Parts: sequence; structure tokens; C-alpha cells
Amino acid sequence: MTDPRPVFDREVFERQVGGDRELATEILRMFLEDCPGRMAAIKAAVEQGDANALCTAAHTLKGSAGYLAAAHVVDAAALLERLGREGRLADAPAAADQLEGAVARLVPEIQRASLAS
Amino acid sequence: MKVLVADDDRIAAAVLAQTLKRWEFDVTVVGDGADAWRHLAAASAPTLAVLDRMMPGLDGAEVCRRVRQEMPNANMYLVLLTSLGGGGDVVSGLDAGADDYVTKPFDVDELRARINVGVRVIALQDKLNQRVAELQAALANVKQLHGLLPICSYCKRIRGDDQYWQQVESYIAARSDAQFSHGICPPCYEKLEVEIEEQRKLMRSTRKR
Repeated sequence: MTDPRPVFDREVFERQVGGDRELATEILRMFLEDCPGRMAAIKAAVEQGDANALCTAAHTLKGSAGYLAAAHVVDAAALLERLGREGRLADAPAAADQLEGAVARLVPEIQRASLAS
Repeated sequence: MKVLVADDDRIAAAVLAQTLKRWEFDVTVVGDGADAWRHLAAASAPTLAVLDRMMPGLDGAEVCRRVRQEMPNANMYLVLLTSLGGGGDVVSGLDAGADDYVTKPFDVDELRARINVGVRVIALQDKLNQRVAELQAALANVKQLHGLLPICSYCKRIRGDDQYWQQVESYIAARSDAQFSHGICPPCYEKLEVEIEEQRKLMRSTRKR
């Protein structure tokens, strides 16, 4: 069953930034800039089996994606954060792949929104 | 009003800071708990702070704990930013000294309502502190008029803490809001009248001689 929620809910995002177009553009730019680093930190933590680092990196990405109303990325990052907190690293590689897929679907949407704003 | 925003996620910090600026707050943004603590411990510290619960190094709850332990009299309203579903975070954050919490990503109307509560609490606490200071000052004055006062049995002067003898009225006036209007009471007036009459008689008899 596919998730009916949008990859990026622009309406919710615009309400979140109070209709401030300048802020919206700035936030989208920051997300595109920070996302590769956040993903790299998560992958490194999974590879190194560092539960604390995984929890922190996934938490930060979840927070940022939350402001963008990117539900799929939020859910996938939340799962990784939980796995890190509970030290269940055996499940982490699969969850990281799931997150990577969600991010791969989100980034083009953000890029499009960024160009349109 | 000054507000401190502390979040290691620059996206969260930017959205929050801009929102607060739109509401006319004077916003300072920092990226970690240690920096937040430095700002809150400074002389001209903000009275309201929104702190991310989870930050590297000093987290938001730890900043709250330090503020309450090391600055127990500070009139500061501390709001924690917590993650969705982090129930335990909320309890431990409030136990650490936070006044309230907001879940990330925040709902704009809810944030506004909670921040307004903070502003109201700070204003009330300010009024209360002012009233306590006024009462303490009044109490200090009253205390000065209590205790054992050395008074001269003849001239009725009072000896002050500086060992100088003062007129009763100047002594009391210096230690209270009382003011004196000078007059003569009836018994003194009668005595004085007798004295004056005697003086007159004396002067008349002197002139006759």
C-alpha cells in the first residue's frame, strides 16, 4: 500500500513559515545544502555501528524535514533515530536505505519549489 | 522583549527566529547549549528562551537545570522544543526547570499562545518582584523606628546610631514618611502664659524703679 501523504506538502510548509516567501526560499536552500551532509553522517554512523551518532544525525534530519512537511523523510528518519536510541543497529542498514529512497524522492520536489519561489 | 533561540538545526532555528521576529521580539540565535547558557548567564540576559531539548554538549534540559540552580532568582521563562512522541523528554525537561514545551515542528498558533503565556508570567513576576522590593524598603524604615531608643529625660533629644543627639522630630522624620507641623498644646500654653505674665510683671516693676 502506498503512502497517500505528499512527499513535500508545500501548503503546510508555507503556513509554517507564515507566508514569508523570502524565509521559504532560504529554508529550501538550506535543506538542499545540508541534506547531503546529514545523509553522509547517518550512513557513516550505520557503517561504524555508532548508535549515538546515528540517533543524533537522524534526529536532526527528522527535525529539518518536519519543518518542510516532508512526511516520508520524517518517518524514515524517526525510525533510524529510534533504532539508534535503542541500539538496534542490525535493522539500521535497511532503514537507512528506506530513508535514502525517501530523500531521493524529496530532493527534486524541493529543487522544483526552490526554482519556482 | 529579548528572546533567545537555541537549536543546532539551522533550519529549525531560522523558522523559529523569523516567526518570533514577526511578532516584534528581539531575537538572538545560538547553535548549542553551551552558548545558550553563556547568553542566559550574562548581565543583560533575555527573559524568554526557546531551547531545543536535544543538542550536542549541553542539551536544553541541562541548560534549564543550570539556570534554576545557579540563578534561582532570575525571572526567566524557559520553553523546551521537543520531538513528536518524546513523552519522557517532556517530563524530564519540565522536571529540570523548563516552564513549558512546544513540539517540533511547532504549530504557529500554539507557539504564539504559549509565548504569550510566557510574556504574561514574566510581567506578573516583574510586578511581584517590584512589590516585594517596595515592601522590603518600607520594612527597613519601620525597623529603624523599633527597638530601644535612648532619649534625654530633660530635653527629649534622641541619640541616633551615629551617637549624635537629635530632636525627636528630626529623628523620626529621617526614618519614616512622617512630617511635623509645630504648635503648642493646651497644658504647655497654660504654663507658657503664666511664665509670660510673670515676665511682664517683672519688666513693669523694673521700669517703675
